[in-house]
Amino acid sequence: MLNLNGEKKKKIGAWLLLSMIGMLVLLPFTPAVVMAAEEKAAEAAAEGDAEPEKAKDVFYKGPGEFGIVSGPPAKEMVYPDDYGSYGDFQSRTIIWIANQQHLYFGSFVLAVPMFVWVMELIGILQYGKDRKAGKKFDDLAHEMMKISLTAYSVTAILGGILIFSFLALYPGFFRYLSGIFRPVMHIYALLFILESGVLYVYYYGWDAMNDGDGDWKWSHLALGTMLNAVGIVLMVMANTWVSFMMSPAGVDAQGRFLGDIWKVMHNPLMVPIVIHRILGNAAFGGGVVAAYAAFKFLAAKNIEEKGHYDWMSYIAMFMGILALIPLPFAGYWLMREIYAYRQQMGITLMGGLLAWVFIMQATMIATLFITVNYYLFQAMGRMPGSERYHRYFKYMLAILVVSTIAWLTPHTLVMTPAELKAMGGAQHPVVGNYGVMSAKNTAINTMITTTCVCFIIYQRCNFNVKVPWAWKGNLFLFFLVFGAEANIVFLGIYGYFIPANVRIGLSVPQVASTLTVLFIGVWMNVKMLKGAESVGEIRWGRMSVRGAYALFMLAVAFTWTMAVMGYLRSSVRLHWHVNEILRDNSPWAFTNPLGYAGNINSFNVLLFWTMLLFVFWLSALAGKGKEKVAAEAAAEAAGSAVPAGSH
Amino acid sequence: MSENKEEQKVGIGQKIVFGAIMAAASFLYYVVFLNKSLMVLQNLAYPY
Repeated sequence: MLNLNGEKKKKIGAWLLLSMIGMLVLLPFTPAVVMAAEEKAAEAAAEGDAEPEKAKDVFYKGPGEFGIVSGPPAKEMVYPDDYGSYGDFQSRTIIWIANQQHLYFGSFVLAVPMFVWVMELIGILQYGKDRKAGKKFDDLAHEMMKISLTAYSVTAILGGILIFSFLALYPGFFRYLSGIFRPVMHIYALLFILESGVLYVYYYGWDAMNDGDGDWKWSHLALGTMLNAVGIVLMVMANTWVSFMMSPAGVDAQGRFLGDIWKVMHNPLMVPIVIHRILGNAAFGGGVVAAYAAFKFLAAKNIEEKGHYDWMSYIAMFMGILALIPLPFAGYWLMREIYAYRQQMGITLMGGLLAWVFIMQATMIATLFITVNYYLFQAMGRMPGSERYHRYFKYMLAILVVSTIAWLTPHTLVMTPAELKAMGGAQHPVVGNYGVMSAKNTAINTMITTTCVCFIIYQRCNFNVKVPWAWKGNLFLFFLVFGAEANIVFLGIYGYFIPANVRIGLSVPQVASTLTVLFIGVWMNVKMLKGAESVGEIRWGRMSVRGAYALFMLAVAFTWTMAVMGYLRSSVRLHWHVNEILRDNSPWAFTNPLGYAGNINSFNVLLFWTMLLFVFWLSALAGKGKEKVAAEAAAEAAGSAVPAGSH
Repeated sequence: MSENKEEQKVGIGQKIVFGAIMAAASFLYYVVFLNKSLMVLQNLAYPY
């Protein structure tokens, strides 16, 4: 290991590191210098000419409505000149797969450093109080980072494949997009160098910079902060391309660039998509790390190892769920912004062509919540004292199942004309009543509330509450939950009797009721557990294997949900590459049917998990060699009388 | 928790009174505060 203990060496090391990172930070600004020079030249040219041509922005109104035309119009795409293909095979499917795989790995390598950062911080803060606990969190962070490192190279390779696919199959579209985003794309590529530099120093410097909670360790955490910041900036940049395709801005009706790149980037859907994606990535990353830990838990040979991975899977799952809970609200906001941008787009998504995708999403998210509860039921099996609560599980499961059925009831069914006639319309006379948002919102809020109750039970199941006001606390919790649920159901029923524009507002107090249980309920529970008597320590490593399988289920459900919602978001542009600016004139401009999309999504999920298994295996392989050498060295040292450190 | 000695001393009457207060408080919070105030706020934000 690198010895950094000398005072002089420390200084030299710190300066080297700082200057290296400083240079890397400056790198992405080089295109900005070129841009500034270009702008100056354009201004000089404009001064010489008569009035430069101005055009109206497709989105921005007010003072910034008109801009100087700074680019060519979007060319009308012609098939086959502007498209590449492999015979009759849909080029779009190739792009679809390349995009999805790159996105999966990209999300994963973005999310893991966020967890690692939190774990490392907890480790440092714990170190002063309890060295063993601090080290445990630090090791966990280090191990998570190891998985991310291999996945990082896969992400870069997949990014390369994606660009080549675009160049080969959609050259016309890519020429237009890269023409508009030219400087952003360069900054993106240069930021990647910065990201790689920081990532490698962060990972390989882990042991060298580890002095518990000393200066080096804090500097290491600062590197982690930087890694996350660069990662998020990278994601935001790539998101602007996607949101520009959905809701262009900063260009005129012919697609001509109007000179302000920030307007192009800051298009109407950019911010909600960024927020939704950050949360989604975090939830997905938590799910994948939990699945990795579950895999190691199942494969572990002894109870210590099992205990470690059981604990790791719980932490990862917990962090994933923390991101999952606000995710539907970010989704609501995104949908609201879509409606505000183009009402027709919102209707296509939620009430028209793509509405059935939301039924699929409901199925997946209901699966997620049932799985989380099932995992918590299983996890309580390793906690002494939880037997007192086992009898409630069946009721909770019943509530979850009924809510799931209500949530995934469709408003209208896919039917033959004869069936339609027999039923008297597209809507079923009884079941159809449950296929509306009033019932669906009630169902999902009930599911989240039930999950909160399950978590509260999980928190307290191996304790005897000792505070003198315990009975008051219990009654408070009862009325908190009961009141919230009564209000959720009441608002659900009330929604049937009022017009749609008022009804849509009811979702806000419904959600507020759920969040009350989450925050106030968990807070009260923690207060009640102060000074509580433990019935027994958590027996880490003793969870049933079913619990570990539930984590696989969770991770696959996350992956599949991402695939199906990605299909939805992309399909809503219909026959446009860039909405209302650049038309898709290839033979594959139609919207793929759900069955086909389902198959491609499942293929994507399978492919991703196969590659991920390879990544897991690879990170395990690195550890194996070390263990073997260490075991051999230990055996040799034991066999000879020579002390191990004497050579 | 039934194992809690302090809890066993609490009479049923006391529990009913506290429960009634909590029920009223939760009604006031959820129905009067949450439903009403959030709807009013929304009407101000989106007056359509």
